[in-house]
Amino acid sequence: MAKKYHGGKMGVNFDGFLELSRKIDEMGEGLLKQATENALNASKNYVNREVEDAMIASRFAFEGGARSDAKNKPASGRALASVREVAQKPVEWNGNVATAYIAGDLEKSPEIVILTSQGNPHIKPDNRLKNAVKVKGAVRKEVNRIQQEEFTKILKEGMKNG
Amino acid sequence: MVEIYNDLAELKIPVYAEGDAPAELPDQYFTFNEDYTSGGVFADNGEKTVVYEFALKYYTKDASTIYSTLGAALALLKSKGYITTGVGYANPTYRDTWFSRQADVKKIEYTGG
Repeated sequence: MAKKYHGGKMGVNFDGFLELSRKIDEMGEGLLKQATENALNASKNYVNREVEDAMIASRFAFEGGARSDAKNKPASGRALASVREVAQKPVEWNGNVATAYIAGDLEKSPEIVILTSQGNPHIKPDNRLKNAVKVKGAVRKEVNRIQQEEFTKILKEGMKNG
Repeated sequence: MVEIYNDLAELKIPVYAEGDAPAELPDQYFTFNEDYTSGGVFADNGEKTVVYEFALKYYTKDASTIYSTLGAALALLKSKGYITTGVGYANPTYRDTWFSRQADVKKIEYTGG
């Protein structure tokens, strides 16, 4: 039995999603599923890249060396390895529901959220990492743009094919 | 100008920027973090609005106030023009001492630029 995943997930949601979905669905069987899968693949790849880049740039030194907040506790690289592992997971379908996995497995790398993306009264969160892990701010805007673009591509192809 | 410190002052509960709280913490307090700021509406080559996105967290030693005080803060912020949704969501207990709950709030500032 597959081990349970405790981490970030994302779906498809952007302005005009319902309208575009309806049009694509009317064009032919399987096209909506294809659009959803393309949108999730492209946007999860973007988010996972953002998370990884934010971790590499982070003051918390995820790649190794001592963390500024926890002297004498060298980072093991476990969190970054988990993000890279999760980034390889394909989009999964369970009936009509598709899920994309993002931002690492919290069971293997709880420090991503606890130490950095959440912050606490005495530790300022790493905003770039927080927005990447939680798909907020500029990351949310780009995800919306990517997903809308993938749906529009399928719509245009469907119209071309008639 | 968005001044979340002053906007929460009526509650008479200390408010700290997340990460900048004093070493000795009171029984209850708020922290906030400015997660993201961006232009909202643009016209005539100018930025007409700025959207501020905050994470507001309430910490308390008294678990019975966790929903009501965060709710009061959200209601107060809403009355001052902030956008608030829902009742917040869970936040980890801090140092096994302060229970916590958080909410996302937004403020749109009209710059007229």
